[in-house]
Amino acid sequence: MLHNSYENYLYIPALLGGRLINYLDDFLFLVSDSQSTAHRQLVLDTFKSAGLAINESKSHLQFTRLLTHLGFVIDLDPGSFEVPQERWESLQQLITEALSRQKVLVHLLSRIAGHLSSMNLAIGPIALIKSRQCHSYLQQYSLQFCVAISDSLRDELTYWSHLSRTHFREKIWPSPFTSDISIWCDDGAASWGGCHDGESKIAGTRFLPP
Amino acid sequence: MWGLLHCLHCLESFLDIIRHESVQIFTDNSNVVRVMGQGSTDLRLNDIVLRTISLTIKHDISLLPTWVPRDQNKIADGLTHLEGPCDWTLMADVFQKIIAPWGLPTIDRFASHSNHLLDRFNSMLRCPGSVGINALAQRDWLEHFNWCFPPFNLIPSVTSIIRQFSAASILVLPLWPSSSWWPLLSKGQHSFLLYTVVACYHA
Repeated sequence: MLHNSYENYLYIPALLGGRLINYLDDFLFLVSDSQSTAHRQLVLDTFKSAGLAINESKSHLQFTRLLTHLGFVIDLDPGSFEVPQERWESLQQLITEALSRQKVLVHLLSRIAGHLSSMNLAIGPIALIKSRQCHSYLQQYSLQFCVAISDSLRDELTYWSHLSRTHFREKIWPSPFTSDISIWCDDGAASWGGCHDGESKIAGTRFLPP
Repeated sequence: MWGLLHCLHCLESFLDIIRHESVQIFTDNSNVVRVMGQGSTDLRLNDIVLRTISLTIKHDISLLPTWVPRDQNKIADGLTHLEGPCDWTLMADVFQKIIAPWGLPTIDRFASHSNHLLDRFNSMLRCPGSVGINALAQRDWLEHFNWCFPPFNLIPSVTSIIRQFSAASILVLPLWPSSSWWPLLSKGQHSFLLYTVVACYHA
């Protein structure tokens, strides 16, 4: 049924002159606000004719510029993705629980890492980069293991505990990157080199990081 | 790991130029670009990524790592062949033995980020932590107690600049009386005091 009706869904945005973003049975319609009322009726009629019931309590059927969809707050005014308050609080509770103990179940670290990974869209790459200590425990131990929290893991968790939800707002439409300065770098068998816009040059010998 | 670390060195070396700027850093190592964007499960690599991020936040730098084919990275590639066997340093115990009678010098004049013996140092090219490029072009010789262990071809220039500034300096030289610069050490009003230290290499 979904397959047959799918063509109808794909047909809607073409009629609306907008876009449809769907994940399984979640649908997000992006249309211009001037014709939103007419479009709303068209969407409802098309769903009905496809034999699909709309769960109205979980749906938002009015035109809006601020919406929670698939676990993210989509705010069209600043054009940003944000983490919903309840998800952020849930993460903070887990982190507080972990930081209050000397030893924790790897399962707890798994939940924290999972939360952060799932927030990647709103937080950006730092969600992955700053949860690698958690991930390293997941690679080494099974979920039932109880492990001591290392200093570096504590630092990582503390980092997240000090931040607020609104600190992170990834842009929906990031502006193209325009660089003021270009740097080229390379590493050889025993040394490295670099230059800035082909003028200033740098070089050095390899040494072990501290 | 080296590619990632060297990208960080490049940024640190050009810090005075790139502060508050948008910087595109090109490398022919695609792994560097990937790891810069998402970190790594290798915690040593991830630590370098975090150090890079901290640097960009601290100095207000927007950074875009970008891959380029090797044949478009020829200048940087050529620079990797500049240093090597000539980039030497004294072993720490020999250094301590030499400075014992006079105290700790305040600047290492001929060094790099990988071999400096003192916190302040000058280097031949830009490198992380260097307070000045080309020791012979610096005008602060008199303000410092200078530690000089120069490449041998620079010894005449170094003796000349020490005399010019009458700068308190420790100059480390090979014991080489037949060399062309040896007579320079006793020339003029202020001659160098000569001390001999026999350094034995032990692995």
